[in-house]
Amino acid sequence: MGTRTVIPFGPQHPVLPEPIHLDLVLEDEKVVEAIPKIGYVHRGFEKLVEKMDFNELVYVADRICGICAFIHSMAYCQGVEAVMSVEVPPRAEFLRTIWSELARLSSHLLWLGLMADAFGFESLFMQSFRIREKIVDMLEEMTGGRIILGVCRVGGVRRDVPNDALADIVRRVKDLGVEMHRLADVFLQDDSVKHRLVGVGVLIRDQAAELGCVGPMLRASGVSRDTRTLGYAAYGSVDFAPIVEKDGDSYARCAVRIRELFQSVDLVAQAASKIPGGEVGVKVSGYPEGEYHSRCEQPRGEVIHYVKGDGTRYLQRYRVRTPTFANIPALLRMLQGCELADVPVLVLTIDPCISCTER
Amino acid sequence: MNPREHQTIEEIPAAALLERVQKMRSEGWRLVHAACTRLVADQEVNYCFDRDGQSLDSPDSATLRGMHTLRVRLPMIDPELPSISSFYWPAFLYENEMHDLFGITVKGMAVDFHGHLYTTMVPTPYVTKEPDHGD
Repeated sequence: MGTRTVIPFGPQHPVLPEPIHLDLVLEDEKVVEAIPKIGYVHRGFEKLVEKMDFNELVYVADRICGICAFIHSMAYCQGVEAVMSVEVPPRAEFLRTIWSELARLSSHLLWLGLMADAFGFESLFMQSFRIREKIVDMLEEMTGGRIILGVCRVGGVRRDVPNDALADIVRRVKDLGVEMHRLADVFLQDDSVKHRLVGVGVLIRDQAAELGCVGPMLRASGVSRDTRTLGYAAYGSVDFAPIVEKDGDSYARCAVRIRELFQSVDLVAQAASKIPGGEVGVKVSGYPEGEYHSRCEQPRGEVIHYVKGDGTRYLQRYRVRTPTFANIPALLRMLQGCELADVPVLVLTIDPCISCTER
Repeated sequence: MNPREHQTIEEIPAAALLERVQKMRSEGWRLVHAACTRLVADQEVNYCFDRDGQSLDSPDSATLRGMHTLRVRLPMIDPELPSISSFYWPAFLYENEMHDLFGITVKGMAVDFHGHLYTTMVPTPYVTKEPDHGD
């Protein structure tokens, strides 16, 4: 056994867009153990149920994270709507689906850019962010917000989008699909990218399931599980099948996210073509009484919003289980035995969203 | 239009937790998450499981969609639970969180961070006061 050294990785680290702390126990250049510490930016959002009523809490849910903001607010609203037996108008459900998929496009392109940056491919990073910017512009046109959209509310959505504007969005998203193909070709074919990703951080199918992985982490190992198959929002009205890869390595996780880009383009087009007319919200009266575990598919995987109301304006308990939290055990397992040089790639490969985890 | 999941809750004593979790495991349920809720006089710990029709053992069991929650009630003073991480390894993360944020002693965790998972400016476990709604 070689000499053991403990190296602190984070909370501030060039590869980390957000702070997380790992104590890496090394033998020579090999990681033998990784010990996580969270809490560096813990905000105690869940405690805010004592100060903010169930309607105001939508703003809090929207601000849990700057990457997957919309889906957080949607999951929260779905939870409260289930407790209060509120039926959301179909048009609002379709708009929620369209915004969810645009948020997924934005998030996956952000991840691809950060990944390219992590392995030193600066031009690929710039291209990913250039395409992402156009998605963010579309979100701004439709909702008024680029990152924190603020359009979800209990009972529906705050804004409608005219059908001709939706048709224009679909045309522009499809045009972006052509640019994304060029990006995908580099990520999936370039030798220098493959050199950093193929065979790194392998999780076989049974391991991924046992470790409680969610999202692209799970699907890259061959498990076909995606919360969207539950049919929430308008996902029950569009053709959808989870994207699955078999190899379970960093390259497979990258491939899943790239294929999901094109799937999201297709889902936006499907939802826009099938969107019915009508109202985009209903009036909600009364206070939530009961409990529900609402779940949605974030870009990083299944998110759970647990709401429990006791018949007052204020929820009794609000709990968010984020996909990054669920993927931490798998990260710890992957880091065991890896080379120190691969740590940044492996940390990024789970697409960590620390602000979600530090809710 | 939005199909709501069928969600059930089964309240069990802490002493029966391991046996019940073992049964869930053998039936192919997946641990979705675990969390603690502080109430006025006591607190409850929820273990949520699902078998969403795409589990490894039963790829065609689409009719089993839904979530099942095992609920254990614990006293506010000296709460203690056995760890379920021998059946569901990733449960150690939820259990460490329960220990750090809610002060629950969880015995036999597969990985025990000994109170060092959460390092926050405000010392944990947080002290519970009566909610002040600010009205």
